[in-house]
Amino acid sequence: MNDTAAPLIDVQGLEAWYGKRRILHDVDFRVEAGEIRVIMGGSGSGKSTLLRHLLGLHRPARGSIRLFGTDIVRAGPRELQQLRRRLGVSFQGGALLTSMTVGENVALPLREHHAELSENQIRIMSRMKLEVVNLGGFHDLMPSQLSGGMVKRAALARAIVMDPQLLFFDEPSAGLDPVVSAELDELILRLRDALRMTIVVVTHELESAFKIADTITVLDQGAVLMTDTVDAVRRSDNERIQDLLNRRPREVVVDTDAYLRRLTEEEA
Amino acid sequence: MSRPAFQPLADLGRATVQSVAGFGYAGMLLAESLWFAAWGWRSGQPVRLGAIVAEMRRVGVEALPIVCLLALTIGIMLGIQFIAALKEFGAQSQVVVAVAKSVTREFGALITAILVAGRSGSALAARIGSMTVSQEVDALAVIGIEPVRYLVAPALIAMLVMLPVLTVFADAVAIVGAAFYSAPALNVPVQAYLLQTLSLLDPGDLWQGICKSAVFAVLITLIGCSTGFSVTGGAEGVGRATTRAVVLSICYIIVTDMIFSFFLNR
Repeated sequence: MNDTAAPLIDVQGLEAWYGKRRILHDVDFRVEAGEIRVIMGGSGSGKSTLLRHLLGLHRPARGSIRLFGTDIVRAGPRELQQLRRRLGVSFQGGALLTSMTVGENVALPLREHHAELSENQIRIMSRMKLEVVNLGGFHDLMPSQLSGGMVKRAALARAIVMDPQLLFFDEPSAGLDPVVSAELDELILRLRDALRMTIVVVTHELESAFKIADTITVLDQGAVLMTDTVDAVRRSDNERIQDLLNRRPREVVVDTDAYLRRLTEEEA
Repeated sequence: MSRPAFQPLADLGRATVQSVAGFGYAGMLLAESLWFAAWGWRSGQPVRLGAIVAEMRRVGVEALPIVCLLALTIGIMLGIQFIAALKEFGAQSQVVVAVAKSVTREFGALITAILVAGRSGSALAARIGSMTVSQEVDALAVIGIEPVRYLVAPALIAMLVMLPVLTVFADAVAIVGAAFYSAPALNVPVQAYLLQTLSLLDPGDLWQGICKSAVFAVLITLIGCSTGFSVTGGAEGVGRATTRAVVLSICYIIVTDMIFSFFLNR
């Protein structure tokens, strides 16, 4: 498939509901090959929900999601399987399988998708990826024996073990000290430069976002406020974006009727 | 305000919808597991033999000592009760047939299933529940490993093999236990008691227990897995799911057992 002209990710009119609450509202989202896109937004802005939809873990209420030109909402299981070999995901908490060693975790995608590889090849390939994330020699440890930063890096090693073209990274710096999170940022930049990956990072850490991003999508209350370069986002005169950048608390305008309804109604 | 008047009705409706959804979900897990076991290798989702064997060890081999211990106790208990009850009619010697039939048809399968529900049903719910909470299930899915194929199918197959095997073990041990108490009470050697048992049992009795245990195996696995997958709310949710899995499994086992006994013994 040689679709360099088409965007790698193409989301149109995405809408998502959680019960009666609308989480995403008419989201358009496009990522070109080779860029690092940061999805930014406060808590509850819908960034995790958007990510879960991009990964095909949720079905959208409305709209289309195309990865590598394939509509993942309508794709059959086999097509989806092929697609998933081409993307890697590093979850917020790492999501390493706790019953396996770090090495086995990293080797898992290889074992599942490449039955033709010998044990030796799998071992070498997975240890190479552990070296990439500076975890050489840690393959025999269990995930519970690792620190928070090491878990994230091990998860990253598992995400890139199949050499994906597209890498998703959920909150790389959440819960890490500044030094470790700076190291992770460096690692993300290195991955793009060395392995030519397209990377989508979900974060609410401004510093890290500005450091790694080529372009930033700002989400607020389930809608895309803007998608632009780092400088353009910094210069934006949108009030909500400036609130986010300057850590200003939101000025909540109280709708009196809605407020009273919430307080009094049983099924609010 | 007419709302409170209809509230119980609304709750009833919601509970009904939820339980129907639960049945549907468990049915889907069953169908998918069987599909992956039979055809998974064709679409690159094979159910791995290694995983099945590991699960069989956990479900079956590791449960063997405790199953035997309990079966022995139950056997002795049945011997005591039957002799005491049959004495009133002067029919103590009928204890052999009473124990043989009740153990093979009923108690072997029931005790084993309840024990395995407590050991493995809860373990399945806890394992899958904590994996759901820590996004490990999502991670499997995005790696391209169907969670049902990886987590449910091996457990289901292992349970379907091991629960009947454990049941047969429990049958044998319980009868031996009954023999230890009853043979001296009847003034016959233990070997004679056991030979008498063998001559009285027919394959149908054993099959009844074995068929039941296969059904129990499906129940335990599906309830354990479906409560595990539906965990929400962190560590507390995992704890709740574990309890729920055990209680639900045991309830369903006993009710199913009753229904089976009704239809098989008419």
